[in-house]
Amino acid sequence: MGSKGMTKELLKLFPILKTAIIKRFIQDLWSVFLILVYPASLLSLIPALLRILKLYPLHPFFGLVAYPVSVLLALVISIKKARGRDPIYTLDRDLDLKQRLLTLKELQDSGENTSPFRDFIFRDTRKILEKRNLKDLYPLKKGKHLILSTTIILSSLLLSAASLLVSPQKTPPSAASLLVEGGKTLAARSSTNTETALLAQRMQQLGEDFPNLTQEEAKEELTNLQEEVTRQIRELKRNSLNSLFEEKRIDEKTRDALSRMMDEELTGEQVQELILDLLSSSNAGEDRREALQKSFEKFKETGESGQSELAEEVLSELDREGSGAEEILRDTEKLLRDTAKNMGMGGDERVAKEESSEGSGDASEPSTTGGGIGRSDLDSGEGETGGPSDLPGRESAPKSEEKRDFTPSPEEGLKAQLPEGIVREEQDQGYLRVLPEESFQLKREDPPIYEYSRQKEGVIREVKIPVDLRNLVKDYFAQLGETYPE
Amino acid sequence: MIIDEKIFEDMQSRILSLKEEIQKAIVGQEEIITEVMACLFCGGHALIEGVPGLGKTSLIKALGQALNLPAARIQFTPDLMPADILGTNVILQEGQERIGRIVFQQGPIFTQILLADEINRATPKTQSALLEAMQEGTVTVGGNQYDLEKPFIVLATQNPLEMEGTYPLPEAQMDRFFFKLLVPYPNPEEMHSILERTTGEELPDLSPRLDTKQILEYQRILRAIPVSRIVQDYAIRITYATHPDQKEGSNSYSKYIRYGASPRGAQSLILAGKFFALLDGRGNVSFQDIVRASKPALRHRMILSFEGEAEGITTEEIINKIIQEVREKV
Repeated sequence: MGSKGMTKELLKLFPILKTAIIKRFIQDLWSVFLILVYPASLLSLIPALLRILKLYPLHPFFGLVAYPVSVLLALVISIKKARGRDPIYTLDRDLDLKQRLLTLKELQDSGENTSPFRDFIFRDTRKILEKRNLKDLYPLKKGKHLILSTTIILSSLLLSAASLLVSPQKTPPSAASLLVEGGKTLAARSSTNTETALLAQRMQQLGEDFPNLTQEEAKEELTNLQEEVTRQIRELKRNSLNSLFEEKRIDEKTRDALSRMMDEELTGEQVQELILDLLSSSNAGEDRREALQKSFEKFKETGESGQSELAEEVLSELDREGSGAEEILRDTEKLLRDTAKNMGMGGDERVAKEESSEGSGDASEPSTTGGGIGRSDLDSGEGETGGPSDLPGRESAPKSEEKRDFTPSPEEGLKAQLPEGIVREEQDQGYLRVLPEESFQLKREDPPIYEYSRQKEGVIREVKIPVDLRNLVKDYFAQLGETYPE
Repeated sequence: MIIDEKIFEDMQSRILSLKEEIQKAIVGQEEIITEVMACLFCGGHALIEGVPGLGKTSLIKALGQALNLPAARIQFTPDLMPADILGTNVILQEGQERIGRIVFQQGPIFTQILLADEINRATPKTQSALLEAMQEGTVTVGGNQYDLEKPFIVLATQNPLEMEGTYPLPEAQMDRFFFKLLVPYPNPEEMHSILERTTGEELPDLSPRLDTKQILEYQRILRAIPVSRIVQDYAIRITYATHPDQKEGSNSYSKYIRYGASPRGAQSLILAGKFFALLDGRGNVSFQDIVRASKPALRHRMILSFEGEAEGITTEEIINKIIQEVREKV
């Protein structure tokens, strides 16, 4: 019989040894668990802490997985420990048998039945084992260990439960701080422009006075600021219009038409005529034509309302370089809108319109356009499709890859009127005309990088990008679009 | 022969009663008495070291009385010759007439308990005269070999204070002693008892507890006590650890050792371990028995290096370190 067999034989002869082995295992398990419970409790708190610190909205009870894992780990370690030790040697030592078991096992191993001491040792061992009380042999750590570990486990449970009361979302910055910070940024960016500097001053002042104002007063002040910003943007646009005329990039008729359009004084036909003029002008680039066309289509979709916005977009297209001041003001306008949101204000009508046109508003917010026109100052890429359809407020926008019948509808009527050359240009730009001639289809094949750029822009509008980094991000994606070979 | 509880318990109780009997004459020194008994039942000899007046001679006399064995005492001096110990051949004569027959005149070694008092005062030549007797239990004189009666035990003493005019025992001789025992000075309480017993009217009279036959039987049974391989391995590793080039332990003491214990050291550990197990009523040797035997069995088998001597390290300190560092089971 092998050594293992002899061990089993001995365990059979002395059943108390089996109990001792089990008790020893439980003691090991408990001791290891007591060691592991401390790191486990720390780990279990991580989700709760992440939630409390608003770093990541993980459910706090995820952390409690650490406890069953520690039990499992303790089990594995205990089994390994038990396997690694010689059971007879350990029992001999633990039961203070003074190597009786070891000697007995060896005597049995060697089959040395002739040893005059074999039976004597066996009886001696049995006599001693009968007197041994296993109750106190492998005591489980209790007392302070048990209290400490229980306290730790309960504390982590309570903390995890308590963290459920804390919202995992970050607390939005207060309107006052938004205004003060926005004012500071605006002041830093508009050192040369007196009007903008004054606006910055007003913003900062309003931010500081905010806690002392009533809700109504604050709303009024904020609305005033928003109107001021809108006015300054309009002013800039008019200046831009004059500059374009002075630089002979547009003729007098166009300037007047655009000026009237900004004042919402044109009829739908006049708007269409103006756009056609602009599209057919020799100095209009292909991408510019496309952008203008898209803006116009959106304009038509909205029932020919929002001339001033269209005028601004057209102007932005004509003067792509734009001015830094306008960019700053646009950012400020957005900031004020955010501040108004923070205060629970919806913002003025213009703001609401812009939100819907940018596709950045909630799906529940009223959208006059359904799809959004796309901000011409950023890029015109969204004009056709209204941007990614999964964005809020754009659920009706057709996907770019979708085929659709080309039946000259009122919205697409303009395309049918476009000069032949332009249509051909479109083919080069990524539109394939598919036969039959009478009901051909337009299939948009956007180059991947162009599509990528466009999607990213949609995301930029959704995500809050720090004001001072916004240009950098936007320029990057604009640059991606430019690098695509035309 | 199967050892049952009755035999074993009888053996144990007789050995313990022998001890009690000796303790009637010797106050304290319980450990020394046990270790001397270990030498007796293991068939070894003891070197007892202690200052004069600690009861070394009394111990040996008491042992002789309690065992009912003949005891002899030899006072070792520088002019003591081997023949003075072993005996010599003499021409037999009756009155003035020589018979012309040469007969062997037995020396004092022909006894069963021999006290070699101040053994280090004799010359190495005389000391070595004991070698054969101690190891083989025989004496060879004039080409004739004479057996010594068993059990035969030599209890040699040496005085650690007076080193002038002494001849330290050679290593080979030292190794032949089963144990080296250090007799401690009695504590005040023991001193009271010593004075009461030795300055009174009568000295205690000891009665014999064991006879020769029983001693030899017990020696045989003791050797049959089984030792598990793990315990034996422990004894071997302890012995190896006494060597300067040993691999056991942490080597922190190896620089203090010049030579380590011989295999006789390991034999002493196991045999003494068996005796201690017997005293404890066990039929097997434990690690603790080996530890208990380690100092008396190894302290005289290690030779300190110059560094050890210079730093005043004792072999006891080294053995303590070894016991701490050598694990029971590898």
